[in-house]
Amino acid sequence: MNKPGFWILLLLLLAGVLGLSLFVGRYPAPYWMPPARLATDPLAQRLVFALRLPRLLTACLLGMSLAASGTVLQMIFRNPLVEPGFLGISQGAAFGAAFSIIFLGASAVTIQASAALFACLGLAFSYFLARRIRYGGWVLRLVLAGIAVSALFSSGVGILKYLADPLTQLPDIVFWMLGGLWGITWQKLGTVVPLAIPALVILLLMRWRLNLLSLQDETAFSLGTQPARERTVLLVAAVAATAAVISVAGVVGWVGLIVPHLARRLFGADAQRALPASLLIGAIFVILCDDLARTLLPGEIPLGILTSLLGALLFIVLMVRKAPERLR
Amino acid sequence: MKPIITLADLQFGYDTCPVLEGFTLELPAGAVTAILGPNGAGKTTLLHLIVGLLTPRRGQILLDGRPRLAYTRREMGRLVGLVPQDEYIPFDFSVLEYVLLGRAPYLELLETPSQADREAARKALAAVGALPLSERAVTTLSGGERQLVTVARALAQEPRILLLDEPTSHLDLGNQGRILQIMRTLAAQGVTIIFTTHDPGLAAAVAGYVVLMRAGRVLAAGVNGTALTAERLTATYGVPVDVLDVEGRRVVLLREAVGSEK
Repeated sequence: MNKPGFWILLLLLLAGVLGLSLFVGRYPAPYWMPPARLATDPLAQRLVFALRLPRLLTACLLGMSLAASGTVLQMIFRNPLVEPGFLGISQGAAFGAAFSIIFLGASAVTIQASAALFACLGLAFSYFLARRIRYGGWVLRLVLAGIAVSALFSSGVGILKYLADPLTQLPDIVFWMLGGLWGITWQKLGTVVPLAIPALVILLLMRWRLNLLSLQDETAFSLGTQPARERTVLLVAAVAATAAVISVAGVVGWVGLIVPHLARRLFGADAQRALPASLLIGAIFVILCDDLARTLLPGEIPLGILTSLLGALLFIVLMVRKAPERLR
Repeated sequence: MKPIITLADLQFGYDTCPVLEGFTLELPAGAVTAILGPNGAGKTTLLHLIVGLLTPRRGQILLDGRPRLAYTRREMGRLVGLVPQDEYIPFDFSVLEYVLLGRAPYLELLETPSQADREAARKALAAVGALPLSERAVTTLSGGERQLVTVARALAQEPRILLLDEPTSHLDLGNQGRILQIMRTLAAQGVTIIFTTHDPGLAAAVAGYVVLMRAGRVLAAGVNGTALTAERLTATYGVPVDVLDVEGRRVVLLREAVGSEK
């Protein structure tokens, strides 16, 4: 049985972190803005409602999408070390962004569109390559194809970096690949929501099914499922959510790997609980990292650096510690 | 004998390599059937053709008198259960959560298991004597416990036909005995049991019906007493084999082994 207390705690934690984060930042003084100031200071009002709020909501969606995709990909590929960087998605997006910065101009909209487009192209390329590979099961073929496609795109990024103007374009590319939420507006959030929310809803609705699809093919099939078709639906939804968020946030690593592990440790492997837990923990983790990113130093620290740093540290702690009694 | 599975002139192969050729077989309902044959004879392929994982190039598969392809995927899930050889489960589901997955053929795409499904899963666990394991993580089970739990997962499907691919191959004597007892009990309840094995002695001990396969063909099929002869086993495995009668029970031995005893 679930312990409903832990779900309420997790929800309250997310709400609390969201609420408090509105007042964390470097205005008017570093770290904290007294909420009372909102009533009197028009600049504070604009800062909180036009910049911090959409940014926090995007961080929330970013964490949810990456963590959900990580959970789904790990289960579909029956491999707890998979994350959304798989299947050419992240490298495709990075290539798209770099391509846009050099050849299409560095406007936010073109970078975003190009990143999303190439993320999907990366997946499509992996998918069709996997269908042409003549040996191994479907999962192995997808993994092999994903490695090859990722390598192609990352060498493409290398070429683009080499071609880039080192003073104007190269910093843009590097910064995009480090990931961050500094330029988020309501308008940008508006481009993420229509793709990310429906994709997350589909994943949540199919969460028990996800358990079935984590079994080996012959078992899943013998239970009356259509493994290839159902896995493809889940895969497309996971990639749609990922592409939507990384197109505005850049490459933010480790969330999709570490959060599903943490969720399974706390709530068990059954995706009925692990998936919603992943969403909530992912949102909290990214919001906290983003708070640090925009508060710690006078200049902003790229979000991807912090998620990687904290994610990797957390991973080490999880690996060396004995699993606690599960919260059932 | 009323056949529940009819295979007519099946042909199947991977790429250019034929696995089954002109394979014709009828399997009786409600019996324990053992499928014997050397490595690569096509035993697992045969189970996968029956469950629908593979599609024959030619020939027909009838399940309970209906062509296999006439069943929907969910109908198939309720008709045929499969216990694969060495099921690997990478995530630490609890035993009950895992067995509950066997209820999938009774649930719609977005439906989640109900209390009744939980009861069915517990019943399946009780049938294999593994109910006390319910809350354990599947990744912590011993080989024998895991095999029992895998059988329970297939039983939760309430299938009329249960296919087991080498169900005793990695088990110690005690666990082998447990699995055999479960197969007998299920058959007595009307479930058709079909299992593959490398052990003719096991087939002789438990199966009512025996199929001998070699190189993708049926060498012999029939009730245990008549089909499982020394000549046929010798032809199946290509080594001399004796079938001895020891106090009314038939024991299968390699002839060299018998010779060295003398």
